[in-house]
Amino acid sequence: MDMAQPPVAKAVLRAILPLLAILIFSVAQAGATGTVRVQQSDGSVRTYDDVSIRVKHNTLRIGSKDKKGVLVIDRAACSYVGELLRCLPTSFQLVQTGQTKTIQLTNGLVYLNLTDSPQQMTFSSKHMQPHALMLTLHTLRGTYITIRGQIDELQP
Amino acid sequence: MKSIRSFTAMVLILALPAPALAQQHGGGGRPSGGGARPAPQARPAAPAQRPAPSRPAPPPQTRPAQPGYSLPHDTQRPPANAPSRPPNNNPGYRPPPPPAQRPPATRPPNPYYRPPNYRPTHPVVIVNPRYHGNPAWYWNRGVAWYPAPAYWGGGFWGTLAIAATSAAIFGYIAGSSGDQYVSYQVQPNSPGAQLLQAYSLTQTPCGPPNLVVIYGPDNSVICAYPNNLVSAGTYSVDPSTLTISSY
Repeated sequence: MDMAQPPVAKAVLRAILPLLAILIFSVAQAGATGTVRVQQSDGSVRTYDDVSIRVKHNTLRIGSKDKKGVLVIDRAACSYVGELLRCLPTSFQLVQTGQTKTIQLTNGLVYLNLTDSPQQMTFSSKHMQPHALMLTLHTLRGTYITIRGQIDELQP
Repeated sequence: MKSIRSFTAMVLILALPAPALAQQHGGGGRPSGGGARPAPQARPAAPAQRPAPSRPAPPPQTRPAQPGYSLPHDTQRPPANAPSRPPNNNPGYRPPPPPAQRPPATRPPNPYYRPPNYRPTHPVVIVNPRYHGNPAWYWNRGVAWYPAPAYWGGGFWGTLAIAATSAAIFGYIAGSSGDQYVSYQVQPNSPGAQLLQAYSLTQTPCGPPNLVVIYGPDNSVICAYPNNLVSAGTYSVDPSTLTISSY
């Protein structure tokens, strides 16, 4: 009887692992609720819902719902305004279809609330919710990109 | 084998309702304080699963037409023969504003100040009374601060580039080759404001002699009244430690 245990354990593991992966993936998908709004210089507007917002390895990564594209801010000048982290992004890239394309910025501003409590915004009556992100970018080609949402993943 | 089947069935039961449960509760993995997000039902669901007559047609411009993100204007390179010209077929194109919108310098150079590219052989570091002894970037809660090229002083003194023309001008400094550097008012809550506060310095317009002249990132400069910590002279800034060194 004891000799039969290892194959059984292996079979159980084989059965569990894919299902566990499905479970984790499903929960992660349900958590991505950020919104990206892109207004091109010709006035056309597109909105991307359910984007994922991840802060990983000193980069801010905004992943599209279909996981085909990622907007990456990998360089920014950051300082704190009260409890809110304010960053002036300097490098912005679109990673899509296996290519990384740099998008030239005119200016931009990122606010992050990394605390666990709502924070009052400076010179505003608005509060930022815990782990919330607000981002506005203006590209050299005249595109306005605004991103709102909550951070889905935070890694140092 | 029976135990495997029953275990697999149990895991399946647990796994399948997870997305539905997570959506009902506004995204399962969220922190407790994040309740101000819009309710999940506000987001449009897949059109195929909804009866067509009872739902209004979605706005035509809000649906992504291609996978990922669509940023054609920003990701397509201009033609090689006309790299700097805007496309003719785009009536909505507006040329970007020039990066430097600073007003022209009108005052004569003041020979009192040394040029910003001057480097002393023996700089004297004046320790920051507030952050001395702490690791680098401690003043910014451990987050490395990088200068942003689009902003005056890299944003060290505040976000002035967007409205540089409307920002308060705090005097002028003569450069090494006769050109002048405009000094702007330090914005509250900026790293530069923290620097001034740490050294108990009060900014004043550049120009008069016997001032504390601090050169920051991106050839930026501000001036302040000397005090018991910082005597009159020319200083540079180490942003990692928020420390000034005399020239």
